[in-house]
Amino acid sequence: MTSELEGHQTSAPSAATFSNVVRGHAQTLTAELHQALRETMFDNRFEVRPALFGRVAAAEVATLLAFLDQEAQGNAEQHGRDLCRSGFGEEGVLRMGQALRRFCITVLPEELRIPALAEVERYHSGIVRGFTAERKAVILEEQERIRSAIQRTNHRFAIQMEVAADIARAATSILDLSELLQTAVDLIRGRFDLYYVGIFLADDLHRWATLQANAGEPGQVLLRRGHRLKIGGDSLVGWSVAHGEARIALDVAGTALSFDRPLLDDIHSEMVVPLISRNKVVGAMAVQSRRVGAFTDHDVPVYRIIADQLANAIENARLYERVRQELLERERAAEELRRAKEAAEGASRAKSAFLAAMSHELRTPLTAILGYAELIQRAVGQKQYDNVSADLTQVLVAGKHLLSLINEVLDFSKIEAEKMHAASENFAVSSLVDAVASTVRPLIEQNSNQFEVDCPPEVGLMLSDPTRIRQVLVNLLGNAAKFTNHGKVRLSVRREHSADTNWFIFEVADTGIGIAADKIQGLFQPFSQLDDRPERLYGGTGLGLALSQRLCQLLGGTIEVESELGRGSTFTVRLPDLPASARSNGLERGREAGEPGPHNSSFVGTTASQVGDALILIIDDDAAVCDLVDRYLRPAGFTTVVAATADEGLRLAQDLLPELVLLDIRLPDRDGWQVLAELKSDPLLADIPVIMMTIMEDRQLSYQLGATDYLVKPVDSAQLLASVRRATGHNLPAQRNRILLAEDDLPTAAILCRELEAAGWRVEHVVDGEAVLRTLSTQPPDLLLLDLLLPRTDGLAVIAALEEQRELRVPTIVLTSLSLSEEERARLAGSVELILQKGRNTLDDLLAQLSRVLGAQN
Amino acid sequence: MSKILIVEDDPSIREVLTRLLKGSGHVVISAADGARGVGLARQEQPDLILMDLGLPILNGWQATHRIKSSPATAHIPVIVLTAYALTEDKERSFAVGCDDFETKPLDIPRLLGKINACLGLRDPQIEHNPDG
Repeated sequence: MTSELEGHQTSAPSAATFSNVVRGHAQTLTAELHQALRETMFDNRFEVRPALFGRVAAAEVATLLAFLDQEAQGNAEQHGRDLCRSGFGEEGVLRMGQALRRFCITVLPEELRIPALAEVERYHSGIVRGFTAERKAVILEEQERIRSAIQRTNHRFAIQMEVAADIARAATSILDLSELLQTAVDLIRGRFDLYYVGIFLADDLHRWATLQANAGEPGQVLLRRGHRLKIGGDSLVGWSVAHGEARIALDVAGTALSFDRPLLDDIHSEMVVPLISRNKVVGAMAVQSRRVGAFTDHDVPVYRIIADQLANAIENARLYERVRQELLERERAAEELRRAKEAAEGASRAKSAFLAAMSHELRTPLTAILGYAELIQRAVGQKQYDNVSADLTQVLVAGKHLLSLINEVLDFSKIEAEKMHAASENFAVSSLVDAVASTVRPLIEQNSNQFEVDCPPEVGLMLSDPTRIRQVLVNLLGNAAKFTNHGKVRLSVRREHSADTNWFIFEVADTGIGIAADKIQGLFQPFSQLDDRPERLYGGTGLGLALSQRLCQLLGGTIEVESELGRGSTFTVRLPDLPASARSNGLERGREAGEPGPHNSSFVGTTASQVGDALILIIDDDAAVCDLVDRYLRPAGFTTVVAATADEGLRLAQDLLPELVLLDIRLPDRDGWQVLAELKSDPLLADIPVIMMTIMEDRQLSYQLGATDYLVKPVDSAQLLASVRRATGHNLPAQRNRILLAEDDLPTAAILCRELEAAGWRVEHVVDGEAVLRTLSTQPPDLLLLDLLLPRTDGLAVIAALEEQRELRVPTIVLTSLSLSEEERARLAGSVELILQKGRNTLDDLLAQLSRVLGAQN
Repeated sequence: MSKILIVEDDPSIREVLTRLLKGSGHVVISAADGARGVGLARQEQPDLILMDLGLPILNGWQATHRIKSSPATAHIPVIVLTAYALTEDKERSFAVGCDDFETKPLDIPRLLGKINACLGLRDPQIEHNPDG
């Protein structure tokens, strides 16, 4: 290339010549400059794209030519400014100068080199000047921008801090959660000039974040709708709560995470900050703006501070709410306690009054009995027998009175304790009336009264409890007889039908002394005899009418009285045919209150502790040890019998066949080893476990002779109980404890199995009705726990099948989540022992009822 | 002539019953607590047992339960005599195997009737009447 140049350029050196040479080698120069720029690739101040280098190099050549042509001397400087503006660094500018110089030296003929270099120097210094000047301007501008940015940030930061402080203040002063959240969102939205602020709280299971408070009109609709977002779902809120991190979407439309904003369509930026309190994400705060890119990473820390304040405030408010609830609960409990106490005191006052009256009523005939007995004793001592027979009659009369009093009190207290249950049977009313009439006729006629009975045969059959009705009628007729002289007593029966019920109306009317209007009120109160004087004319317990009234109520009816002093009284008893539903309702009510129904009355519970429990025979001559052991064992439900000698022990063992023998080795007559050997050689007694008690270590011998366990005195209570329980455990009559559980919901079944097994039952679990029927026929359990909703053959079908095949029936408890109608309940109640409602009845209810239901069958 | 065991802790009632039954021509033995009662039942093999409920050591229910669950005494009829007059007490008594039930104060003629019924019909299959 050089030789070629030499051939063309031989004229005198000048700028024009130089310019011509450059023009001739423009391509070469451009390439050189391009190469120089590429070498600076990694040193540029800004990222000037390499694609632009070619254009810059060409522009450089054009500028140089214009400079050399003297057309625009100032172009160099301007070009320097442009380079600076377009993002070139010093390196690029310097490299391009070097490239120009190298071009002069290598390409130009020798005579042109010096002047050309001078031109290039002039040109390049122009560029450098322009570049430097521009660079200064740029730096100044940047500084200015930074300053204002810092100012803006400071301002924003100040606002954010202020908001944080305000929220902190609000958090300490507002304890109501919703009020607090509303205050916070309003504050944040107003201060930061946001479009929307919303606070979401996570639910307990951490599955949903629900909008709790928001600022901005569209949000109100969301709030009303109960807007919630799935935690861990696609929403920013869901993501943020799941990850516990803040998240910014600079342009909501463009972000990969879809923002659920049916009503908030004007949003461009969104930031979500998690609310974290004590390392737990309790929710998230979402802030939204209409501007694109409204939130930057710099905002996160500040919003975090606010979020932390909020999270703590939320926790505090929740805590406060809990405490408040607890306080309320406690107040409620205290109130209930107070009411219960008042009720108990009321009841206790009533009871005391009743007892006082009772005591009086009991003492009166007893006094007569004792008094006459005294008289008789004296008379017999003096051998004067004239009055003895009459006195004995008085004793008998008073005794009988006392007995009737006790019977009535007993009935009365049974009704009061709701322990009396009405039987229900069909009977002919006329035969009941006949029986009553023949009982009371002598009593009525004794006072020269006429007795009329009006019971037409069409009254027919009644479904109720005839014993109780008889009791009421005898009492009313007895009263009528007592208070009527030379008059008339009339018993009439009729029947009425109203409101789907058959009513039987029994009327007892007399023409006796009557009752004063002011006495009628208290007539049915216990011990309210008309005549309160001690030497009253008319006997009676004072409980008759009170009892009659309660019996009528028990039978679903009423008793009323009309009376006129001196003219007589009429008592009207209205009793219904006892409908089946009323009876089963009564049953249900009793059971729900934890009371046994009529056919599994409370004796079952006590039988277990008083009869079924193990009897333990203690053979030990040391009374102190016996006493101690007894005191350890009795509270645990064991009954003990003590023998002080070996002979007595053996005899008692044969007599009582105890469940366990506790045997001392040193006995006064024979040693314990002999007793043990004798016990073990009697076939009737050999199976009774024996625990040896001694001060010596003879474990080996004990076991060889067949002892079950060995305790060294002094015996410790826990050790003794453990050993006794172990020994008697397999002997208890508790082989009947297998439960068949039919439940298709496996988690429920798992819980039931666990709890039942923990309570000592053996549980077999099946999931459908077919399996229930199969198991019932092959390995009948002691009890069936039946869910109603089972696949294929459901619980109702199982019950129906068992109605058909009654031999397969075992005690059955229905466990259901269905809410049954009264009718369904009544129908089921006839076929199963108990219905428990899932959700309403607890596991404890079930466990408590199990042994009752089973016990009732034993 | 039958042998009757009275298990009763109240001495006067024991006395009244003893005299009453001796007067009716029976041999009477008695125990004052449940454990002794069970023992006498086994050793003496009475023809009938009259059992109180509120007894020391073993109560009447427990004693009856023992008597009725031991092969040596299960066949002996037991009539419970008690001042516990509640239905539950009666049901409990039948639950442990007593053959009949009478409440105190005693209706002497009715009790004697029941005793005769029990002695006459020793078959355990007899159907007892709970209401007396």
